[in-house]
Amino acid sequence: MIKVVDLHKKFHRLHVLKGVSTEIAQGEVVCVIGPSGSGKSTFLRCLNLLEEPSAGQIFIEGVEVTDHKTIDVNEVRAEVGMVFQKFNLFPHKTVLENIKMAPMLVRGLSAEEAEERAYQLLERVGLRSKADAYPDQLSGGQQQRVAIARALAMRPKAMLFDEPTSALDPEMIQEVLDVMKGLARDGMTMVVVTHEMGFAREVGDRVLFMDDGLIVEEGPPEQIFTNPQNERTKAFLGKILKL
Amino acid sequence: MKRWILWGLIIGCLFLVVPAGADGQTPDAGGQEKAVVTVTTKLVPDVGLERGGKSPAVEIFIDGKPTGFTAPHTFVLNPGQRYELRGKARGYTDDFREISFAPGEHNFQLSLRLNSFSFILYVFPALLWGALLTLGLTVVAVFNGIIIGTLVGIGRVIKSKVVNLIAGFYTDFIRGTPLLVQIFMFHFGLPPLLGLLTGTDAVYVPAIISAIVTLSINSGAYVAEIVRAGIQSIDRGQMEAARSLGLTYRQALRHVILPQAFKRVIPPLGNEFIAMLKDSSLVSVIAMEELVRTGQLLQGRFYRSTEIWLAVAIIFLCMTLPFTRLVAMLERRMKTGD
Amino acid sequence: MKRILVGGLILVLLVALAAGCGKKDAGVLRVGTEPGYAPMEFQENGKIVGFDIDLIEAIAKEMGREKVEFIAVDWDGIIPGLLNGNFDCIISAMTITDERKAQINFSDPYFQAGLLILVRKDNTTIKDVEDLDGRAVGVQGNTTADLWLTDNMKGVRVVRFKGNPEAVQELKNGGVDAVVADNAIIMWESVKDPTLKVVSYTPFTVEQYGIGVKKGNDQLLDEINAALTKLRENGKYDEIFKKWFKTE
Repeated sequence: MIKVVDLHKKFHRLHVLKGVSTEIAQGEVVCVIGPSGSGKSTFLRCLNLLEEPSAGQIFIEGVEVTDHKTIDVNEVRAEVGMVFQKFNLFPHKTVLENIKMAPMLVRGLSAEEAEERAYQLLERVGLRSKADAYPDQLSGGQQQRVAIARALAMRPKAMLFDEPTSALDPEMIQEVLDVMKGLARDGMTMVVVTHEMGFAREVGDRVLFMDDGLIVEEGPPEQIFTNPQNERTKAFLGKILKL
Repeated sequence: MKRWILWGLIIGCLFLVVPAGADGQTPDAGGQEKAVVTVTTKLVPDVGLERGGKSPAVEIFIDGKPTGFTAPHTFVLNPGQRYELRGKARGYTDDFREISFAPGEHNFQLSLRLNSFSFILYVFPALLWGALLTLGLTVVAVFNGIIIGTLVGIGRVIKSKVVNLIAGFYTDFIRGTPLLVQIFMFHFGLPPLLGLLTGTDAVYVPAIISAIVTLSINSGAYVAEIVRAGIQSIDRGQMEAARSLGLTYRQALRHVILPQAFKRVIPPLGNEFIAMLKDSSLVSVIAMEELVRTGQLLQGRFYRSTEIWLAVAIIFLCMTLPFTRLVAMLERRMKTGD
Repeated sequence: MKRILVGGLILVLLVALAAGCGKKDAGVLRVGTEPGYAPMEFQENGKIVGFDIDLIEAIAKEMGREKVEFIAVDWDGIIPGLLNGNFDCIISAMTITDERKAQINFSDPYFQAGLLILVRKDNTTIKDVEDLDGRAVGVQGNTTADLWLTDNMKGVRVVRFKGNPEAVQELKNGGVDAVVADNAIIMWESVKDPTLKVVSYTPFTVEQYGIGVKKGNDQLLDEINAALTKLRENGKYDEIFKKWFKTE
């Protein structure tokens, strides 16, 4: 469904992605792990063109989205939902308005349709009662669940998660992961940058280990976690799992 | 909260303790004979102060008979007679005066003078008209400035090199040159240029138009900087979240960034208004009689600087204090809405 | 290093302050003037020049003063400036009026003046003072032109500028129909700029200029009057007059 070919990204002199190639199948859950600065967030942000790749190609359902001449980036982004580390809810709008806005503006839904969809999604993330609250009245975990609902409201073909639990207090991590597990069960194509090895192990179909702008090793979670081949993977996992 | 009550008290007290005016001079008493002149006075309607206020001039009566003169006036007093000098008009520092002089002809200059309180009341209507112009110019200029400034401020942050450049030039030019120079350039410098371009005589622009246009353009540049800073103060994640949902840049700006930026720019916009209230006095150079200019004209006419500038300061405070309070209130209400 | 700098700065400020507060030099006559009123007083090549300037310098010389120090001020602030002691006397084409006499003392009159009207060359409608009725007339605020029009011509829209040059510029740009000011000034402007003309060369008021001195400073006033008389007698006054008003 998503195909990445030799993706490069440079910020001025800094070469962050040095040729990443991979393919993500329909309904697959791919977890991206790796030390900080390895380029995993940049890789994710390139997938919905929040960062413009410096070189290489990205195909979504066979269409090359890196081709500027034929592609409207807004349409691409509408098809790929994204959840951020810091939630990034719109603080001046209620939970309901946060969810309704994009479907109405981008998809042209009527207020009623958008509202119905929003309530369904709030039900799904277990926050129906918070529809009229403002984001700063919610806990971090609740905010992240609203952010997921907001992304889902666009009915995306794939969801990207950029360290969705890193900014949360420990006791709130589980509620967010539960929502994500539910999504995975329902067959959503997901790319998750995470430090939650337990989640990667349990839910992930495949794990990508990135370091220094490259995918160093990839494979099923069991293989990566129990029998890593690459020295760098071993070193990284050694550090992480000891904690 | 208490500060506002205190300000009210201070302004009230200033009115009460304004310095009592000193009086006109009395000729030296030679000693031998005493002349006493009875002068009754009554207020004469307007002698030239436009826009309100009764004149401070008083008509002079001697021994109950009208003399046809108004104070100040120089009399030649005759010796050997008894005169009584009395000013009856309320609010004047004179209410009784006895003068004495030696035999022979003496010049005596009678100059009745309003006490400070009455003088301030007397010039107040004229000053209020000036204040009205100041306030009107400021409100219009800042209103236009907000419209111009919002557009230019957005022009400085959007991804268009050409628009960035033009918006940058505009703010650089306005913020980098004195308002006074801009007023001169527009009002005196532009008409001959327009005339040259159209091949006619100088194309005249009325002073009020010049004043509004220059103040608006000036305000626009400062508001643009406020708006730019406001937009840039919004977390980058907001734009990213909006774009990741498929909103266009314009939609994201309009529905996500600007509503949030708007709340942040209210306090600096309030400052801009107050700054403009004070800076607008510069239009006096093109004969706009706003508050400060009215004060200058009154000073030049009555030479009572202490009272005039005190009154001008009080009027300015009466405009700025409620406004700062309003801004503070708005700010608080906006905060709870978040 | 920083402390030395700050210390040095304070020292400089103190010295400047001390110099500013320094005792008044008895040999210097400090004169307040508003140099925007050619040919009486105006700026030329960075110096204040004019009839008044030459006259007061001759007067000071006659009084035995070594130096005249000119202090340029706004017209609106010129009498308050004298009252505050910012300078010793005023020479600035100031007409002697009752209102001003209530504030300051004047020397003997030194110049006969009166108001004239300046219009654009193409103007044919304004022929005398009465024709100003209903028109916009530019003046310098608080000059006798302003006061006279305000008091005597209710129908005139008096547009008060801070300085006379601005009023003339406004006339050229078409913002006012006429400018009223003292005769010498109006004639000077009409000669300087061929697009302007004088309505009538006969002034419609009779005014006299005096040198203003703070009340109570009678010694200075007497000295000035004595010097003025002397200059009239020895022909110096006429010399200065001819230098500035050749045609009259």
